[in-house]
Amino acid sequence: MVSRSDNVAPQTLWLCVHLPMLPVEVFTRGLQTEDIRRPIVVLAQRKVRFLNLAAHALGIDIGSSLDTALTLSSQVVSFERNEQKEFSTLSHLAQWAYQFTPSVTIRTPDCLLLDISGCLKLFGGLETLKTKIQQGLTKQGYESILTTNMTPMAALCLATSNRKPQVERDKPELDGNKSRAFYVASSLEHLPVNCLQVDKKIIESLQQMGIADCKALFALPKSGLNRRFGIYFVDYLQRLLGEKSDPQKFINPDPKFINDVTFLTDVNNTASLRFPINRLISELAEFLTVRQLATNHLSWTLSHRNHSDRNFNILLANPVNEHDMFKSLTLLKLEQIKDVKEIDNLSLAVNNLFPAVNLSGDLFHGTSFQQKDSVKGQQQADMLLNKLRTRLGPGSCYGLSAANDHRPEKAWKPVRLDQKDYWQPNRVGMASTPEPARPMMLLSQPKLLPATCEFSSAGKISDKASVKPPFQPSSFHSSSRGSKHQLTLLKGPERIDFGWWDEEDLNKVITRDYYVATIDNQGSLLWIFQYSNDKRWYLHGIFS
Amino acid sequence: MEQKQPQDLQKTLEKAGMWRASHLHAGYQSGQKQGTPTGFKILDEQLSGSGWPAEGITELLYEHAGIGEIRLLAPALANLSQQQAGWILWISPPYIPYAPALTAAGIDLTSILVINPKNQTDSLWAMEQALASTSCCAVLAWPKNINDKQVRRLQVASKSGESLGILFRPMESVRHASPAELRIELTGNHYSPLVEHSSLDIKIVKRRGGWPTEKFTIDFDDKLHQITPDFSEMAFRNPNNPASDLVFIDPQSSEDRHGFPLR
Repeated sequence: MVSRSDNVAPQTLWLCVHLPMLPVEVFTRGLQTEDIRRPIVVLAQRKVRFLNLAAHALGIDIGSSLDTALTLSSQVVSFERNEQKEFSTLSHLAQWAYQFTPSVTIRTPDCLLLDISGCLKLFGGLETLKTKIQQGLTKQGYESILTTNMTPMAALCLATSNRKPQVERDKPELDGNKSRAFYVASSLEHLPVNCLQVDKKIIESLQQMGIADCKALFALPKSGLNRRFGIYFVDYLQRLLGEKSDPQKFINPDPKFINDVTFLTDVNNTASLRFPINRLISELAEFLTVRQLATNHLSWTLSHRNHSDRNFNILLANPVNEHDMFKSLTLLKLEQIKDVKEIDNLSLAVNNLFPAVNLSGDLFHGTSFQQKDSVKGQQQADMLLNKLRTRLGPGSCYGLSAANDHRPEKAWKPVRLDQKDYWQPNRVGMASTPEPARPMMLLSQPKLLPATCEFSSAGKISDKASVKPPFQPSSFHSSSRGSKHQLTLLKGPERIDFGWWDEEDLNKVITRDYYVATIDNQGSLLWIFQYSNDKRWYLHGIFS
Repeated sequence: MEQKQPQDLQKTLEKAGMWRASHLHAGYQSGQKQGTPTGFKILDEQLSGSGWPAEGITELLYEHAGIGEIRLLAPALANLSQQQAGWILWISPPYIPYAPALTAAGIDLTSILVINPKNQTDSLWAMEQALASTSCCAVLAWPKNINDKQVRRLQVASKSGESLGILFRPMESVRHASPAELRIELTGNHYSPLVEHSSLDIKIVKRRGGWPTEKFTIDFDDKLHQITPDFSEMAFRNPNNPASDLVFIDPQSSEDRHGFPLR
């Protein structure tokens, strides 16, 4: 007994997207128009399996050998069929179709099934939706056939049947007396049996039995078919006609974006990558828009079959979804890539996805009244930072932060700008007692002062306890050769203990005595120190 | 004709581009933007717009680092960092801008961005981008060598971005003309045992709405020239108290240090 689910199941409508030229299009999409006009064949086992219109016009047929094709025209471009790539493209398109409905199924090798019963109203009816999908696919470089039916299998049959459906109902109306199976059957009845997605052997025996089209097949009793062809065939028919529920496995929205463009001829200057880059970025922007996502990391790969891949990354200050920013930064980075030889494939991968934050615009937009934390200001700041980091490399830009340590080298730290704590500054120890003067500029490494330096203390107390005239050196070191420098110690010493808690061997513990000093009577103020153990003098900072 | 002449003169005088040598602030009054106050009254008085120019490049020319070239800018930078959004961008500074000193000067560290471009081209590019974008309130750069065409380009960029652009250049470039808005020669001041604070001699070489000035002195509010008396010789003369053991210990802190473990 067949279960009749029509009365309980809500009315469903399935859309099948068939991509008949997918094996060719995975190679040709993203090409210039003159390239698409070239005859292109896709081979499997040295035989032509798929070809484009230009190749067909030359007289090349499916099944001919590559030699035949090349004899017909030397212009023929051939590719080995890449099923893996077809599948990944199909998955990508399924992700793309996710913008229309969450119920998307992939049917290998070249079909997508979309349950559109719930989204007709949103997209303004079936025809609008179909046009939208078809246009979207054409824009991405894919030819498509769209068919609808009430069961997924029936839609698939219609799509792959390669003929225009004679009867297509926009909105199949069920009346209580007639079952869903009746409508599905009537829409399929003119199809030949070889359109069914079943074993070739079954189709052959059906044809041998004299059953040419589906109408004749549906007229046969199910029990007889069951005995003759087995339970699976009947199960398929029941699912086809909607007499049995046919649950589909829907895709999950992809956590990443990856897409690529292949070139027919090798590209050897980066300037000609502009258009493919634009195309990939448009697709990324669309991907992000329909999912309400944003990203801060674009990873590009330039590859060639004979060379190793060349990667470059675009890092952004904050996750965004802005076509123009992606594009300008990519082109900026591309200008720097000089040593690229040949390219036959360009791919874009994005793994870091963040939920998009929709900010409302500035109320005082366009006026001189700009708040400190205005959105626009933040965006411009991000844009500048992105530009700088893209051209100069992420390591060459840093912010500053104070650290809670009294040792001069450790009292500050550079802040990588993609770290969040940059925006929440570390204010430890800020409110402590007023510190002795610190120089505006610090040397990354203390510099040993040359032995030619002479030191004098301005504050020297003479025998008579009166202040000596300055610049009268009491020489610590002096040398006859090389330029002499005269340093006068003004303020100090400030003794700074140097990390006995970081050092295991307590004998290594040294302290530094820091002084403010002038040099050579120029007016420059230096921050110098003397080690307590070997009494050597170092320059550590400049009071700029 | 003769009667109209005074009116014509009056009209001519009212034109924005006109300035009278006797009126330093003529330019500002006729719509020029007010500058960023330098924090030094004596310097503000010498500058049209009463401060660092809001548009255009300022060149600071000096021979030796360490005379106070950044300390001169510090009050303005502190003001900008606290009141305006946007970065204070340091392009290839010769040494590391030292965070504790900047904080002490009142500069908000979160507004500081330091970049170290690998070559001169990148550094000029970065400076132009930063000046033209409105997201920097000040751009400080230490170009290795820069010609007047490049300065002109930066000058144009800074007008569109309205940010304070400072170039630190060697003193010798004063001999070459520059399209910069303001050029200032800085000379370090010798320390004198009688004055505790450091100071800086300033000579404005080029400014809008005024002639070059004579040298004048800016006093910093610091104690960098304060001299710590050196008792080492006295100590040395005391045989019980060798110089190497002489350590200045703040009695307050030593009490703390010794007192704490006993509590």
